[in-house]
Amino acid sequence: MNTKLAAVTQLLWTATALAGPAEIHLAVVGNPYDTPIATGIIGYAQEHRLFETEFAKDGIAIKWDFYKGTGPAINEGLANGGVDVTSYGDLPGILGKAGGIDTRLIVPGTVGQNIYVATPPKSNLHTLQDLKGKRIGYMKGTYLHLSWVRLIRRLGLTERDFKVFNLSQTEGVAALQSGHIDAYVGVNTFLDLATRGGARILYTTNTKDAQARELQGFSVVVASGKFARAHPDLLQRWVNVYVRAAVAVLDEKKRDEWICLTAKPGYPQDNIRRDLGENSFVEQNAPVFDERYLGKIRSGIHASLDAGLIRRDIDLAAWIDRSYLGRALRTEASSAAWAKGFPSLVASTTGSGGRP
Amino acid sequence: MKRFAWMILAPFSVQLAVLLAWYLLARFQVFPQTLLIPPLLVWRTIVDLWNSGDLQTHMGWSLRRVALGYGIGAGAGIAVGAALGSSRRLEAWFGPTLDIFKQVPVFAWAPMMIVFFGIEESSKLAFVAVACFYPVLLNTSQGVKSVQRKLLEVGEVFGLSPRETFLRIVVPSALPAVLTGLRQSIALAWMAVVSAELLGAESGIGFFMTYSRQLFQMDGVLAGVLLVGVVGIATNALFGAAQRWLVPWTREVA
Repeated sequence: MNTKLAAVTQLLWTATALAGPAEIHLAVVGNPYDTPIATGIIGYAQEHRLFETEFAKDGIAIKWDFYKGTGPAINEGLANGGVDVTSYGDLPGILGKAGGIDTRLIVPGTVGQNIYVATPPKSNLHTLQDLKGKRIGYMKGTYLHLSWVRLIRRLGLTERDFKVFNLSQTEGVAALQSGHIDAYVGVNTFLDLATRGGARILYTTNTKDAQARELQGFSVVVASGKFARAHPDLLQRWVNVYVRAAVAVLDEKKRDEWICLTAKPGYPQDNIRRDLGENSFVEQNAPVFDERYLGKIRSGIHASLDAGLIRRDIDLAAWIDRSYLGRALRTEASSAAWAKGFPSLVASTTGSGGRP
Repeated sequence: MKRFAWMILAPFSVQLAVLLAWYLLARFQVFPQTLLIPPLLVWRTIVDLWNSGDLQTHMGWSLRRVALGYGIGAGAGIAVGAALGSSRRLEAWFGPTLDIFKQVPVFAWAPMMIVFFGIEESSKLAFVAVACFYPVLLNTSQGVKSVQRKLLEVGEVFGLSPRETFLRIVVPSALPAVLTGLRQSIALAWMAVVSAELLGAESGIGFFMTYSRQLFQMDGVLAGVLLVGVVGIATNALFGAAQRWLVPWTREVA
């Protein structure tokens, strides 16, 4: 009886898989402006309807889901089967994988996500050491959290050395301005705010200092294991489109277009421009699993374990599935210079350890 | 005897059934095991939390906030309720305004609490106090108003002073309703403290649950749910016992 039931279940499952899904659920981190607009390479693909065009011939729609709860909420979506593919921050990706969610890291996301530690403009706190024991706000479970934990670890401190308040960027700015917290760890919004005299930036990774830059956050593009098993062909085509979009937009001549694209959800363009500084957005966003990226992810996992954010290690070799990107780079990006990686950057940004 | 045994066993049998259903749902992975953690793993998390001292720390903070917030809210509720219940003029003045505020769900007060009291302890205490205030106020006011006219007349006949009338007639008559309000409020205090700690806290069982959720440690979330439930049952039982002891002449109304 059980064998029959299993056979019928298997048959139904296979039939469903063969029939293909009606939709591909693409989860995107929400933004403070509540606009359903993605940024970066996925944002370019959204703007030009590249995913929609690719899958329209099969009658498959792209369902864009913007998660206001950012990375932690996307993890819940992945766990309950509501997300097929997503691009989100380093820490949520690590937390999800370590928490048992079946994900595959199929494409490296962006690197170079800065953090800004801001205080009220008239604060008498001037150094990171001054913040010890003070009221600090940030959004836990996001890349900011991981970068902060790595930063204070260098000072020999842990989260327990601060009064930590879990606040979104909007809540954080309000709390900072009303004097309810002493500092907030946030994104580039503080550049604009500092210029207008609403805050003072005490520390940032937006600097030429290599030590500080090493703390910049990164993102991961993951697919749910279930989706990858059921529809490897669709996932391959999705990655192909991603790489096609990368080829189209990752060109230093298109710097202004990139800044407009990044600001499109509602962010002030000037913030984006200053956040990027003199850095190459091509190097920061090229979808290549080079040693620079792998070094960052290794140290991210190590720091998460060390800070008790995850309770078990992640087998990086098993998590990363290079096959989709490898094929996509061969078919879509053979002419792109960045497809070969950035060996010149590797030496300064990776620690010890081999490939996963 | 048979009835007593039934009263004891009936709730446990339902709780055991829920536990069994939880175990089976997790065992057969009706919901993803990363979301619905099996009961045994949750129990292990609780033991780990106890051994590390985190459970005592977080629970200690939540209990402290409940005790203080409840004390302030329920105390104010009794005072204002007694005043409104005993004076028609006061009720005419303040009753309608309080009725308007009563319509606002306690969670809607959260942003105001943060604006006025900041994000540290005061706002959490205020949040719990507001949640506890209205049930106590309404029940106290109702209890005082429902003191039977004939009892007051008897007091007058016996020449009782206003103080004696209050202590011997008003308090015993209003006490069952007041206790009902107090019992309703303690349940709300628990709900409020967990919500207040979800908003912006660095300690407490509500904070622990949110933090666990953000770290995708669902065993921590479920452990928090269980602990809040157990403490809720314990406080409710405590208040039930207090009610039976203080007003043995009435049947339970809550």
